[in-house]
Amino acid sequence: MNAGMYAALTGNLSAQRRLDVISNNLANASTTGFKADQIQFESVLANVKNSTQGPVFSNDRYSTDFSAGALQRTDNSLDVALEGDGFFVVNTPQGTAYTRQGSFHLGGNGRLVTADGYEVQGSGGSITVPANGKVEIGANGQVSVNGNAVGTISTADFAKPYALNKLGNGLFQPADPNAPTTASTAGIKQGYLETSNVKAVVEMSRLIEASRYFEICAKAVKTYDDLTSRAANDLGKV
Amino acid sequence: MIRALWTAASGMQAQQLNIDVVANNLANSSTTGFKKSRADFQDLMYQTEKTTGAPATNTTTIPTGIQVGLGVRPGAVSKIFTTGTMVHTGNELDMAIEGDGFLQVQQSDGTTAYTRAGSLKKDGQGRVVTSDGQPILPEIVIPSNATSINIGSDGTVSVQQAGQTAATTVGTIQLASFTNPAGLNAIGKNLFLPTDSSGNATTGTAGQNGLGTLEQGYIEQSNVSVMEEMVSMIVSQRAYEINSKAIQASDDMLQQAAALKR
Repeated sequence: MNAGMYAALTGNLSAQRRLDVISNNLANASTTGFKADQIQFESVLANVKNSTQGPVFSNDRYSTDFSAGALQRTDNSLDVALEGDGFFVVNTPQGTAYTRQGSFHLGGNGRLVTADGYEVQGSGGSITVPANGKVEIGANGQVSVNGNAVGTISTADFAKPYALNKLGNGLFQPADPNAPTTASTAGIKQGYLETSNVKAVVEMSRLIEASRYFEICAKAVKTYDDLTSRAANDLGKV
Repeated sequence: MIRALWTAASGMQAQQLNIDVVANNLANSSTTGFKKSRADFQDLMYQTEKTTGAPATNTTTIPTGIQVGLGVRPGAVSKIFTTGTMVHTGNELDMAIEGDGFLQVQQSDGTTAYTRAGSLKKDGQGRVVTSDGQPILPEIVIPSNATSINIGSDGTVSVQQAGQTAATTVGTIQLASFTNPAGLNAIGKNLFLPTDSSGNATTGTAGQNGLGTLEQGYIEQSNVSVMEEMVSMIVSQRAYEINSKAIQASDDMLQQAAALKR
């Protein structure tokens, strides 16, 4: 078979993967603290040095858009949003993870936890909130109950561009486990949540683009198939 | 392709839950003491197709990997305890709590539930009860010859009795508060039960330790803002529609792939 057909097929596969990513963004249009992913168009033939080499994907440019989502007011005392770059620090079974999802709750032992029950980390480990009063969280993350400070919510940031993996549940982890964290400059806003940064209009246009691209590649595959069929069936005819 | 189909389907399901929550908020927009709910979502797991930082050749590493997410799932539906509007009714046994706190209600199984709906009544034995006939705690009995009832802002209940000039105190309404009201479990009938997340109730006198005061003759309306819910509804409906478009697109692509074979 010829390289052109494989190139076209590679286009199909890349359109498919792009649609997977777009669908995930659209599905998370209402997920607090979600950051959209994108796969950019790159030449799939760039790596083909000669016709015997199949084209490869290594030039699919995948990236996560870490821009801030809009802040939505909820008035819940345990909802916090980050204004600026940075992450909350969460203790998970997979080790320390980072999130922008600030819809916190209280665990059975009075500890501040995420919706999945993972402990939110403060400057001195987890934060225990005594069960007798109004919780106030300052811009620096200081949690106080009835005016008594009980802990400070930690924030952390990483060197940019971020090299973070997504774990699902709004959690991120640095690709390099030894990557040093830097101080976050984000302010914490109590009673607000950061909405998803997915832009539906942009995703819709990417969706159209991906499906048309798929269609074109499928047509190309069909054309190659026609050519091969002619070579096999018509060439011998007199 | 099939992956995108299911991913987008999870998005449609999430928006369905969003609409369910909005519908319940709207249905209760005139319910006394009702607190609106909000659905929180979380992204599902990711399939890592190429790991960031993995060696690309023996001298270079991959700068950014490829992770394809598999959709969304509901994380929590939590109540939002902002205060509703106070409406004057003039009824002696209507009371609104201005500030934090809940009235304590004794359920038929002996457990205590908590409510913000202060439209109280008297039952046949003169006890102060909720609209469902459940007595509030501590129990307060209004004597049958009472001509008027007065509830102070600290919850002291006193009555004027026929033939007497001085008012008689018959009890004190105590309020309860929680560290994290959003963690309370709503059981319908305007009642809430404590959970691990809300913490246990701390009872006290109205107006002290951060508890609100009682306002006789007022009731607290629901805190649902119809305008806000309508906006949420439009947003969810559009998100639902857009997710259905992603399903259509993957279906179209599947169809084209199938058409390749003559």
